[in-house]
Amino acid sequence: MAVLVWTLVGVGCGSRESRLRTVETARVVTPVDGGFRWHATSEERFGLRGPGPAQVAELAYSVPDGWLQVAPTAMRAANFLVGGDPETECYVTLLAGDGGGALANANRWRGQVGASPLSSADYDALPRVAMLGGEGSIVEAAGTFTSGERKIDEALLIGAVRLLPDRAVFVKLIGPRAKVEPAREDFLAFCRSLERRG
Amino acid sequence: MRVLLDGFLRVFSSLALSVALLLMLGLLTWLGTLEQVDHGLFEVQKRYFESFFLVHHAGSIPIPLPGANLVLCLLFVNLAVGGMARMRRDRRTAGILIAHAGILILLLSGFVKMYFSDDGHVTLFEDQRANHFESYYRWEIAIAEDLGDGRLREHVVPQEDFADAQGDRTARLGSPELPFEVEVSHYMPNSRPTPKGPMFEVAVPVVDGVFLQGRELAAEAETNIAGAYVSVVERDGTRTDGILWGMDAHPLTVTAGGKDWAIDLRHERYAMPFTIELEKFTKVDHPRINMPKEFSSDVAVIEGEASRPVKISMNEPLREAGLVLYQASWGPGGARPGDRLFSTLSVVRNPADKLPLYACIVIAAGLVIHFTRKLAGYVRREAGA
Repeated sequence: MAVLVWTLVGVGCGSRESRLRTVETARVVTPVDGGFRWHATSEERFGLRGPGPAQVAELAYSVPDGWLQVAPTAMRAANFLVGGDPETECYVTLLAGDGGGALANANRWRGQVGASPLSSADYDALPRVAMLGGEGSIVEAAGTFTSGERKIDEALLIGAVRLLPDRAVFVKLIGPRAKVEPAREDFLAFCRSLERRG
Repeated sequence: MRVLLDGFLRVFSSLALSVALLLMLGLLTWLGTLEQVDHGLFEVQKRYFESFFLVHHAGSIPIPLPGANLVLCLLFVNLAVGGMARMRRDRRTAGILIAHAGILILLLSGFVKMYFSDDGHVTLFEDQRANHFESYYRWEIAIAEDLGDGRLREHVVPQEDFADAQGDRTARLGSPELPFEVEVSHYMPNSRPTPKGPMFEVAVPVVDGVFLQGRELAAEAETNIAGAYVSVVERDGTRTDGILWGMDAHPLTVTAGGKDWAIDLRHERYAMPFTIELEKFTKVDHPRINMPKEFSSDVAVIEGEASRPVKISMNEPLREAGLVLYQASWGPGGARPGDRLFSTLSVVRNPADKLPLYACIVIAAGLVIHFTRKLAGYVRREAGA
């Protein structure tokens, strides 16, 4: 009875539940894959980088001040948080060939914020930025951003598309308009800094 | 008692129940397939096919349904009682009985696979080795000490023991062999370590300038990356805080009891009784496009001092010591000619690996017997007419 009362009191007070679980499995292993590094720093463990020159497998670039490079993901070859804000992201995606087409991808981006699709003529008339030895098209759209379960009200998306002979390079900046607007020049400078390696 | 037994047999041997169960199975397959669009294969498999009950939401209307696991259990009983125990047993029904036995073996193989198998993958670049494979979905925490001779002693905690450490809950992990307890908190099924900037506040602890940012669950469950906070609490009360993340390049190191300990959150690992080394990965593309026509892995299977070469290709898996290694995929995606590629081998440890094949042979034999007898009867009748 006392146990029940104390349990109910504990639950009622919202106390942090904590019970000890015994670690039962212990085994001796011989790593054959080179093992790991002891005492690695957080930057080394999580692949975090600050501003300055940097590179991924086939691109070199300069990270603008205030941007933080975070670990890449399956689709993001380079991945940044802009101004340290976890909601405002810029990332580079590299796809083989034309990556499904420049116009199709531009319209997919616009669709993510509820903007109407561009025609071929609209796309050709987009502003350009010098990048990767040629010119990339700048796509811009504003609205409510939805992707999966993620949603940003009053979002602004700025993207750059550059098709190379064997590669499509997409650079996307997305976040709340109030955070993305001030980062516009940094975004363009980042696009201009991109260089192909090897 | 007799009445109850008769009632049970009547219900569970009825053809109507068979039809209802098969229709329900069809419905679950249809609904589960549709749900995969939004929730991914892994979640749907758990909710619709491995469960006993589920609630399907048709818009805003919740519809309770039996899970495929329950339906298949009932079907097993229905077939065993109706198709085997209660069916008349003579030469005329021999084929049908054999076919039913084959279906029972098939269902049994499914249950064995679900409850007694491990599956995962080994991903290797050329010249890399592995003596374990790891789960696509499940996580574990490993607490390792260096034994000094190239070996590690690992204390391994399964996902069930820390995955509920969310919100206000923490999980304390301890063992008489460890000079400390590990307190796990803020477990996040999908997360990303993020540097804490000066312009925003976070509701979780910041360790070494980094916090763990929760992310929405991805439909493709294998892309979710779990993370958690840990505090190592020594017997004298000294605490060392850290962050664990499933895709870190190196584990967290803490010093406790005069020793270094590595603590790692990683996909659940299963030991293999041999070592595999990827010697060469070959990808052949279709002409003029970067789409592979075929890919294969030349591996060395190393057991002790002995090593033998094996080629694993898409239709030729390696079967070794109860494991089956299939050529599953490769990467990185979008690699150019000359880029270093890795090979992913899907690994399955399934005690019922061969049962589906045997089941199909039994079913086919039963049907051949049954239809041959029918055909012979037809021919005899025609000849006599």
